[in-house]
Amino acid sequence: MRQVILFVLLAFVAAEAGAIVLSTGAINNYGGSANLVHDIAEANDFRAWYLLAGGNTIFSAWTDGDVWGSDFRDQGSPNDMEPSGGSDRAQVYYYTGHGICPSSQTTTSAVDFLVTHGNFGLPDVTHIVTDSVWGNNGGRLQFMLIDASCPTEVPEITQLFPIFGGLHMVTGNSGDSKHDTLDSEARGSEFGAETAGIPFLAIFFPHLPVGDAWMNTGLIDVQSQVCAIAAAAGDTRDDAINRRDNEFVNSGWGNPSNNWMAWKWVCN
Amino acid sequence: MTSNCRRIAVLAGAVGALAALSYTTASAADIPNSAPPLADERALDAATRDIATKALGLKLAPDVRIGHKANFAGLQAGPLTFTHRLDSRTFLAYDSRFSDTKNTGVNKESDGELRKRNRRLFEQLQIPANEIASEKVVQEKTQIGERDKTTGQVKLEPIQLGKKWVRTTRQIEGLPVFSSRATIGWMPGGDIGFLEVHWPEIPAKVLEEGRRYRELVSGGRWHAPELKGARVESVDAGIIHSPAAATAMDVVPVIRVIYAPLDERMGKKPVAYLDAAGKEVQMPRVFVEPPRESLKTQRAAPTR
Repeated sequence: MRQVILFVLLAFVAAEAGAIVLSTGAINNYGGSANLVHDIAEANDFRAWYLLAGGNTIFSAWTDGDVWGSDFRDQGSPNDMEPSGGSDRAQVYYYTGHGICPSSQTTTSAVDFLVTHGNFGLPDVTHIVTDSVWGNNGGRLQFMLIDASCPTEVPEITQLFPIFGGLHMVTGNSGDSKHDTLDSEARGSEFGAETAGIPFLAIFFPHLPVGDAWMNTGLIDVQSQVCAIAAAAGDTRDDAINRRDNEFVNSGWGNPSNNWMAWKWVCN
Repeated sequence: MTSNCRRIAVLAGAVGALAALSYTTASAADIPNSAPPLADERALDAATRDIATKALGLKLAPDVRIGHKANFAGLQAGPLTFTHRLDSRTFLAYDSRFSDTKNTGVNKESDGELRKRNRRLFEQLQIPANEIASEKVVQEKTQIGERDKTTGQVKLEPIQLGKKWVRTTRQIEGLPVFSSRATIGWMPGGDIGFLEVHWPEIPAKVLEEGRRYRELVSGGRWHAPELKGARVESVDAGIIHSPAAATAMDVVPVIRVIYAPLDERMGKKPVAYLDAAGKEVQMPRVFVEPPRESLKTQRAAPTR
């Protein structure tokens, strides 16, 4: 009897280790100024693959004005631990909306911004390099997946060290105002399918580590010279490389420190 | 008829026969692997294995697990997974060793050699060469940094060259098929590390309508609607369809309008897919039946 209980317990623990708590934030409505069309559908698709995978749960799935700038900031009130939708409440957060792009990719000025159009939690603009820390102080975010054009610029990538407060990886694009990502439903949908794994063919459909899934899907619907970039933190040099190359959303690996960072990028 | 034509013909026959069967909604674990399969299922399994081994040249370990569910059929053998769609010319393959570059290394063949490999593979998969719009070899770059927590200084290692991917886009008679693509990553030795070829057949009616849209656009008789806060950057007629990972396959002729935000700092360009009347088209579906979600519709104000 004890063995049976132990088996059930182990099975439960195993199932829990692979299950993901997921959030999405998607913005189409920017108050009538350069509104987007496909971001909400994109986030819906992304979540759908995780739901179909089974065992995963959605923490929040806010859209438009219900996505607040403060959801991505570590300090102030509200902040990324806001109980109804702070980005540090889930293990995986997929953001799709506008970001800020520089005039050229060789810039050394601050460029890594998310732009929301929130009903609360102002300001709408968040400089993730200085304002965001994920996985710290009880936060649980492991994968920050950003579909917002330029908030992970290659020239500014080394400035991202502070955002890794326990965070495992960040993915995003690098570009500029002349070479930009396009509003797309397919990019996030495919990224979701390849990271969650196709459920009804779980053993047959390619299930990719986050970094490679983004190297493939991060260049869908982008203009020339846009790059997809994936960066991972690590306790050691090898740990950072291993996470960048081999970590899945459901690997169940512990949180890294931010001594080391390994990143890769590929450009269209 | 070449051997590949025969294989694809076998696959088409098997798919047709299977279409008459009622698919279950059981989980992947319920796919029968030990019970004797139906004759049609056996043909499909054989076709799946043939495409994997003969068309793609995948070297399968002895312990092959093979099956089908909904509009996908696939197999898994050791580090390899292979899937193809039964309702579209769509193929996906992944060798998990591809990602682990520290142990596997990266392909160092020339771009020209990789393009040749790409073309050979397209031929094997019966992708018409005259539908290739562009073929580009892109290469990952990698870098590592260590931060001194006291000073905040970052010590950077040199940039290294990483994996190579061949990315191919599609056109038919000059009409872009925006959603079709092929991305193939090669491992050292020329084995496929990752492959996604999504190149569905385009119905003649859609193609015809696409041509009509192109005439409208090129003739200057069609004007893109304005978008507040943005200017029209480009207008192109073409075709869009459901993505590779999907249970639906919709194909739609469109006029694609890319807008550039007037505030040039604003990243991500709005895109509209419109019909001849300037109305938004119904976007191709991803799911025949998306999973149900019970989401809250309004977020409460933050508590002070």
